[in-house]
Amino acid sequence: MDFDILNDPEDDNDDWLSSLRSESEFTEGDASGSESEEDTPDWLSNIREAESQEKPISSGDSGIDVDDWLSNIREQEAQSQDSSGGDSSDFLDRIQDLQAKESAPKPAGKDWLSGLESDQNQSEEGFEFNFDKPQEPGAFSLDLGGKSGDSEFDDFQFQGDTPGEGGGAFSLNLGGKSGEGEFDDFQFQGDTSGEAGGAFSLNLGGESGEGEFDDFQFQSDTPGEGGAAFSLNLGGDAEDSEFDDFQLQSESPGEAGGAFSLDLGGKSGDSEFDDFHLQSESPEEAGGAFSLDLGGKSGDSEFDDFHFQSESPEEAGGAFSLDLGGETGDSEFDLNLGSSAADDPLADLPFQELSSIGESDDFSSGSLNAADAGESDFDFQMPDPGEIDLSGGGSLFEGLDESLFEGIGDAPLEMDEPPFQSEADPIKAEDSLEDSGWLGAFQDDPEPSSGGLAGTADPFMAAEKEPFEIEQSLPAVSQPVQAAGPAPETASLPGWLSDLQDSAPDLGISTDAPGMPAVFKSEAAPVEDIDASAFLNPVDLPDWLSESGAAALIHSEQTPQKPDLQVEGGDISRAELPSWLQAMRPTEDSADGGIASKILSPAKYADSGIEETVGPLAGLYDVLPAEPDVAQFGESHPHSFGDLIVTETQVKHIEMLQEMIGGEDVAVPVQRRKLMLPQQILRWVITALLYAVIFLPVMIGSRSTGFPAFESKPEEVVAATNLVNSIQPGQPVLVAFEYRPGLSGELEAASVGMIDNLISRGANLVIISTQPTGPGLAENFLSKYQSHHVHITNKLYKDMGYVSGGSAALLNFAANPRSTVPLANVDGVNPWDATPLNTIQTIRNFAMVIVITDDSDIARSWVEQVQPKLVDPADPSLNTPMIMVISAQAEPLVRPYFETVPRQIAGLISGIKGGALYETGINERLARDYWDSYKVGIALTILIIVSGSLYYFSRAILTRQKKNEGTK
Amino acid sequence: MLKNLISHFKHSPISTFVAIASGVIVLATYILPLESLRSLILSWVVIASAAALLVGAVNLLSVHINKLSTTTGNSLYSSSLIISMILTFTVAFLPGNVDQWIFRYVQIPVESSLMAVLAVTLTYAAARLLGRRTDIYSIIFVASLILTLISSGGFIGGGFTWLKTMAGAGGRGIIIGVGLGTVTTGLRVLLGSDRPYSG
Repeated sequence: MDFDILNDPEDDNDDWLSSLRSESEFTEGDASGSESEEDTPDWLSNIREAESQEKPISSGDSGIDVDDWLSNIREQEAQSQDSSGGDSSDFLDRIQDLQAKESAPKPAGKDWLSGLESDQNQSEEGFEFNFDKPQEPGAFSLDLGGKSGDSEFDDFQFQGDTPGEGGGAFSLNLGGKSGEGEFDDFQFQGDTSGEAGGAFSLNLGGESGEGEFDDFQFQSDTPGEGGAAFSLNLGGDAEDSEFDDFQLQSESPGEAGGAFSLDLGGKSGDSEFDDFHLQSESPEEAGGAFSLDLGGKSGDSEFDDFHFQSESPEEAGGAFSLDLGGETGDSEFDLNLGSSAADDPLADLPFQELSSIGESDDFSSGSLNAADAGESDFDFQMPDPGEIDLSGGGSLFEGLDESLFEGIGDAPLEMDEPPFQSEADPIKAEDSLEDSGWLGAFQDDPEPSSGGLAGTADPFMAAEKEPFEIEQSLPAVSQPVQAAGPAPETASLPGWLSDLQDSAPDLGISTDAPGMPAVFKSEAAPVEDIDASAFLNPVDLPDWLSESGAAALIHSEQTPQKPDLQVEGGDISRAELPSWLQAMRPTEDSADGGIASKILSPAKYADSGIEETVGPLAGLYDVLPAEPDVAQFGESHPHSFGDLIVTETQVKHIEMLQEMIGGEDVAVPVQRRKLMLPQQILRWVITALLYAVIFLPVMIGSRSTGFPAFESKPEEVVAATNLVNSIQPGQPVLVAFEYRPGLSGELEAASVGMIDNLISRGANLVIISTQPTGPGLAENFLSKYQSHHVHITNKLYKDMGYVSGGSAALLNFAANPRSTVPLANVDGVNPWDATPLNTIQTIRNFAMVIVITDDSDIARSWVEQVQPKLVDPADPSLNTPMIMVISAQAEPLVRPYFETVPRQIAGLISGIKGGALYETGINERLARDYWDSYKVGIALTILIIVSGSLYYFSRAILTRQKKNEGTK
Repeated sequence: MLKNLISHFKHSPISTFVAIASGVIVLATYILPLESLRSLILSWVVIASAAALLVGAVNLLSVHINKLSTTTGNSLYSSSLIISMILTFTVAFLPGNVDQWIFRYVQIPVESSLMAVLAVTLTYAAARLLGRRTDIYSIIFVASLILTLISSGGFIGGGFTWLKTMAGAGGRGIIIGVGLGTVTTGLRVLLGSDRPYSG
């Protein structure tokens, strides 16, 4: 709850009090009044008298008709003043204290369990079990008792952190068949799975027989995102079990909206659920199902002081089910939100009666079953959850809370903690709750959401025979004030109050919507009769009450609606505005500005003339400015119950779907496409024919096929031949092995004749490569096909190895070969200083450059980077020729360099055919050996392609014709 | 941390500045008499390329090692690769020509066999081409393929010289286009529009 408006540190809130005192010259103990006593309303005078006399104002004192709830508040306040010892007259300080505590860092959340030791204490008394669940997902199961018989689990405390991300299941079984097991002071706190949302299950009692669950406290954070199911079973066949001070607080799954199920009692027999507190935040976004079953066949169960607060699903509109009683027999659901009904000061307040739902009304989604209620009494009140917004800035409401909380309980309770989580003794807290009665319901709410008190959705069912006795709640809130114009039944309603009522949100209950329980609807009802004597000392008056009493009762809702309460069995009469309230209305045009304006207008704002623009005090001047966060009279969250009811089967289906989706990240191997058998056979046949045709001539050494005649040598081959034949003995020739091992068969066959011719002429070979496999291929080629030369066997050639860098390496080598390829000394001699490299200073010093490559890009790099360096700038006619031995596949892209003028490539040998043509008339070597296989293989390939093309083409034509004929 | 550092520098303006500056300097050396500077920069490229090759080999090894440790399925290929790499690397330090033996009797035959299978596959695909796609372009392709094979086979002497001329013409066009694309890419890198080094 946010009480900033009441506790603005920047505002000197005491000013108005000071002014009040100064004006009235009222001091403690002075009940004689002041000069303005005549203007002081009677109620105020009486209050002052009562306070001076230290006599609580109660009904009947000084003839002031003070409501019981107010008198109780006074009593409690006096008690708290005595105990606290502070300045009891300044409720704002208390509010500040309360806020300070609110803003203070919250305790670890498990303070009440902080005394748990890590080791397990097996003693029955003070049994402690502290278990830290491993973080990895896994199931957690704890079974205590089994058949415990008369076991006692006094002061049982359990604290466990269930799996986090993985979201394993959590199961806790206490008691089993506990017989007369006692679970006194049972405390359970467990954080169930977080993200993944494992299931949570807690079974207490089983067949508990006459088990007692005194001071049972349960707090659990159910799975969050994953939205697993939450299940809590207390009692089972509880028979005469007692659930005294039962408190349950659970946050059901959040986003994912897992199901929430709470079963109390089962067959509770004569179970008693005294001071039953249940607070649950049902799934929100996802709208998981929420189910609460109390009693079942409760027989003569009693649900005294039953408190239920739940925030039903919001956005997604999950199902909400609340079953109270079932076959309740003579069950009693005295939903006393405060002290006993007899002392209920609010009993006589003309609260709007809630309409009766009837016997068998069920919620469509959000089910409230009151069937076979028998003679059950359902005295309850449930304001519309969406109407009351404590956190959003219902200043009136908050103010009321604050004033009512004062002096209640031993110590101010943390507003955001459940009672049993506070540092104070839970029992004491519970007592305070008992004392505070209905006020404790708001203390139970740890984090009131925008629903705020809206979450205080006590499910109610209309009594069959009696109208509702609206017991204390937040009386002001429970009495929606209709500010839009005067109520039809309250002609005496002041205009300002009517205006406020128009802008007031709706409260109350309406049965307009079919099937919609009245408790979930809201209707505005004007507060007409609010006894002025019910107000306390003006010093303690909250803002809402002091500034404009009726205005303070206005809810945050801005949509005015006329109340249309129809309670079965009777009407709820509108409350009439008391005279003192009417007199308090600040009027701008009054001569004295009204008592309220005099009293309330602090000097600070006396001349400011600030007009309030928001909230119920809109249009008034000189009012305390509302804090932004309090003045946010936002729309309440619609409580959409929808038509969706999730059954267990559907939940199972959801789980199955999640399992299916969870496996999406697992890669599924792609199945290879299978070919038809005829196609597979055709493939194998083609392979066999080609292999046979190619391998057979090589194996038998056949040379029977025709060989091109010498005169048919192409120009590029002739040029290459002439250049090789012009090499003089001892001249260095650079040979670059730039092909891949896969095409070594073709290129070796194409180049073996040329290299053999070069070596035969006495050329000194210098090997280089810009490919990592180049040096290996060069060694293999020379050792395999040129080993008959002494030059090769004696290693008279020089292998400069691999030069990395690609085109950059070629450019660098062409510019400065010595610096690009630094060679290690061999026998103390630098290879660059020995034959054949001793004459190489630049690349032009080579007699010839031969590039053997299968890649057109590599050939182009050599032409672009190296060939320009081969031309002597002084004499362009003197240039080092470059010959290329290339694969047949690269010929189209390399030939243009040969056909240019001037030629960038002096000679070109392309493929096996070029090699064979080169070898013709010189020395028939490897190319000639491969020629028969090459030629026959080419012929067979042509035959296969032609025949296959003709077959498939004709078949396609015939198929198309058949289709055309068929369509016709 | 190292990956973050590398990623930071990859995307930082420093890498862009270095790339542009290097390209401009090398380009300037063609205009200005700064051949020594160009040789110096190119020598750096040679060393950096060798280092990049080594890094690539190490990365390949690490990738497959990680694959072995994480993959629950078939990891036969990764294990074969790792074993081959380690074995070849180790053999290279041994005396003799053991590495040459591996190269001659393992690598060359394996790659040659793959190319041989490719030849068979292409022949089969060419035979079924018209069955899959019966249009004019497929017919033209098959016809040109057959003519090229006839010319390459030496069945006809000089009768298909015009075919080589046509192929040469097409090749010229491709080379011109490649040259223009290379110039454009170089300008984009020099201007910083294209940053292939940023990853």
